[in-house]
Amino acid sequence: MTAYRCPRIRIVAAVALVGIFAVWGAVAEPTVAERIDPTEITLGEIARLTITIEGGNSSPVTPPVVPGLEFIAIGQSQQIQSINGVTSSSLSVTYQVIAQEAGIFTIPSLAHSSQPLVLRVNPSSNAPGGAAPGNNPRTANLPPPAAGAQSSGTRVTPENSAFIRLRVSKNELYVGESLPVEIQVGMREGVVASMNGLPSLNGDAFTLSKLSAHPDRTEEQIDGKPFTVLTWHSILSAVKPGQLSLTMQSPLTVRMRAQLRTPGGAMDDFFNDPFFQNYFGAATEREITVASAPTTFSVLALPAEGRPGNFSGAVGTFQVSSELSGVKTVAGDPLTLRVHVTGAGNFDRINDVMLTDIDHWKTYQSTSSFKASDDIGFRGEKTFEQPVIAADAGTQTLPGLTFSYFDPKTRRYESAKTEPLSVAVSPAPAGNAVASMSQPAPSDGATAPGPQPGLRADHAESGSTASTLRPLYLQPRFLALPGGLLCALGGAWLWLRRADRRARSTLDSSKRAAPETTEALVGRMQAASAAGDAAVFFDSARSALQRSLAARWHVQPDQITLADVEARLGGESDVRRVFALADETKYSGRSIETGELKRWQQIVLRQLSGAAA
Amino acid sequence: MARTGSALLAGCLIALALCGGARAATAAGDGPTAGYSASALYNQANADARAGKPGLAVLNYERALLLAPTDTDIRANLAFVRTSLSLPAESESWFGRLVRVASPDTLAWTALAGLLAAGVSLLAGRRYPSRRFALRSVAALGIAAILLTLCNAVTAWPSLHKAVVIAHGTAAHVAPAGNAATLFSVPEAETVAMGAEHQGFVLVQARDGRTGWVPLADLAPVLPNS
Repeated sequence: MTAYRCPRIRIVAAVALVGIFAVWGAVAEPTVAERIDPTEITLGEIARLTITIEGGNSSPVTPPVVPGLEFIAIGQSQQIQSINGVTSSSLSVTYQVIAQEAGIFTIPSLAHSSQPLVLRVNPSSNAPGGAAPGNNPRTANLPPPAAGAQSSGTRVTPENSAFIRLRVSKNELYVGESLPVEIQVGMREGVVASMNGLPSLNGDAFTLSKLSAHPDRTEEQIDGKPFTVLTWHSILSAVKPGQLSLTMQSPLTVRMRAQLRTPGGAMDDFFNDPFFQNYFGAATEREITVASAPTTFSVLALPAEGRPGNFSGAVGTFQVSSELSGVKTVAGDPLTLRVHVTGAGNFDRINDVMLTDIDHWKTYQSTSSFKASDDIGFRGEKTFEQPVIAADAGTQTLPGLTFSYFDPKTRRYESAKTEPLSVAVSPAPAGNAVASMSQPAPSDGATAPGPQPGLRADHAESGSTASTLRPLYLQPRFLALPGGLLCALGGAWLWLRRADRRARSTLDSSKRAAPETTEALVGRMQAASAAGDAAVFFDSARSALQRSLAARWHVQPDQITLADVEARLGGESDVRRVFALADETKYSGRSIETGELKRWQQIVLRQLSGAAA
Repeated sequence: MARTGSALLAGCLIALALCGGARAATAAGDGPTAGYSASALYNQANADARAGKPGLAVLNYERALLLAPTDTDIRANLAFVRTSLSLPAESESWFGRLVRVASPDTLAWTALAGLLAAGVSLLAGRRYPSRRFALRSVAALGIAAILLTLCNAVTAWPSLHKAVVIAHGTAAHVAPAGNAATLFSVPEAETVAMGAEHQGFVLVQARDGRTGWVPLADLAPVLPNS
């Protein structure tokens, strides 16, 4: 907002600056020196153009425009010196000159008074008529695949703020092959405020390994505008075959300036210059994602024909060698077998090259380490170490190891072999079947240290294994068993307890109910006898006898009928007659004398007392 | 009475079938190829010791002891490696030795059988009072087996949270950062108790009680993370 408070003052100041520069430039006429080296090259080679400007202002140097030649800025230096109060400066810019075709090219001089430079480009002997595939001169900049880098076209953002591009050495590769690439992000100083993240890959058919830790920094001019170019190195690999393309992208924050003048004016370049706009423009920052032009690859599947059985996916060019930590040893003493795999390729797919089961030797689990010779892990050496112990005395031989890989240069599977290693093994001292603990096996070929008492002998390996070291009683799968068992036991206990309680309650209730009812019934029976009520008397007598017999027979009192009594006690029993008289007096209304009732009362009481006894 | 006895017998048979089935399933799940065995770990530890890798040797001895705590060879070689590195020998209490009568897996099955025996005996005692003494004796044995296993678990618990230093001279820092001040140095093959983790560092407690943050990469837990 404050930037627009006094626009006139700023415009006047800008015009004054321009005037000062114009006067200074007019007074100090620069001298330009140009040189091209060599002046004659073969198509595919690179020439170097150096432009040195001494004196004058340090305005940007733009490369000449020559059809058929491409100029890539590779360096710029500026020198300012003051001698006796006189200040002078010189600016030197170096370009790589890449010819697109053979011929004689004339490069116009920046100082129009000077003679133009001439570059003769001879046709290539093996690729007449143009650069051979994979022999693009830009390869000189690309580290590992130094011969053949190709670049997707540079696509600058519409506001000329930044670009990102992917440079590769070739566009044809195999699945799993490691391809060194360069990722270049160009940012225009003053326009790009910040880089908000590392460049990333946009394409699910490829993987990109970790970018190099520190990007290279160079300067480059595109359409006369200076860009600061950061270059990362990495490894690209494809995960599936086919014609596949990818792009790179990087998040940036750019400063967008409102234009102070309408376009078309004579001073547009000056007013739209980032330097000018930084100080006089209105700043707004915007986050953008700069993307590269698509790069298409022809990804080939690894051939199935001729694939070795021990092929583990290694693609590249490798050499293999092996060594043993000693040439003499004692039976039972350890030696270290080292296998070195050197070369270039996907080292992460190299594994399991060591020995497994061999006669007269005991082998152990191997370890591996990788030492890269570049900053992206494309070239280097992978070393496998495996402890081995000779079981028997005599001259023992470790067989050679075979390592298979696919070589994309020869387009076929290769097998690298190591030489067999022989060791003189002397017998172990008596009583020391397996050697004692020793110091680390020496790597200089010295004899392994002799046996020392200490470690007890190895065990014969049993076939039983456990899937985990966690004790069984801490495994949830096992803990379900006691849990289920506890539930089952608890359920059984509850069931037993309930059954006991039910049986006890039945017994208690029958025991508790019988004496009370009998006493009451006997009282009612005696009252009915005194009153001469035969129906009530025999009904009470029958009920009392039912209670008494129910306790004896373990049935409910109501379940005892005349038929049950007749069946159990016989048809002539007094009890049966009481049951019959009860029905008779109740339903027929038969009357019985009081004396007879007294007699029956004695009979019933006798029956009840007999049952109780 | 007869119905109750039959129910108890059926319950025992079902429980035994469940145990047998689970054990078979456990064995089948383990598979014949992949897995740990005490002898393989012991042999690997011996090889590590001979190759001058005491950290890995102690680690594999400790792991072998989880599977075979009664193996005297493992303990002897572990003690030898510690002694050769001038590390103090691990002391074990009489209680620890007492409850270490069998492997944890054996004790686990013993405890399960004890639980079954104790439960069935206590249930049967309700129905057969005349045999109460014999049944209570069986229940006591079962409970003793359970207690033995519980004690074994208690004594083994710290071992499951131990780690072995596998790097040379690991520094214990005051904070979980590589540039934090160093409190003390932990020698290779030393065992420490693991605590909290934070951004690649583990809070460890050495055997002398000192605590500090150690890089996770310098440690290997005795019980591998599954």
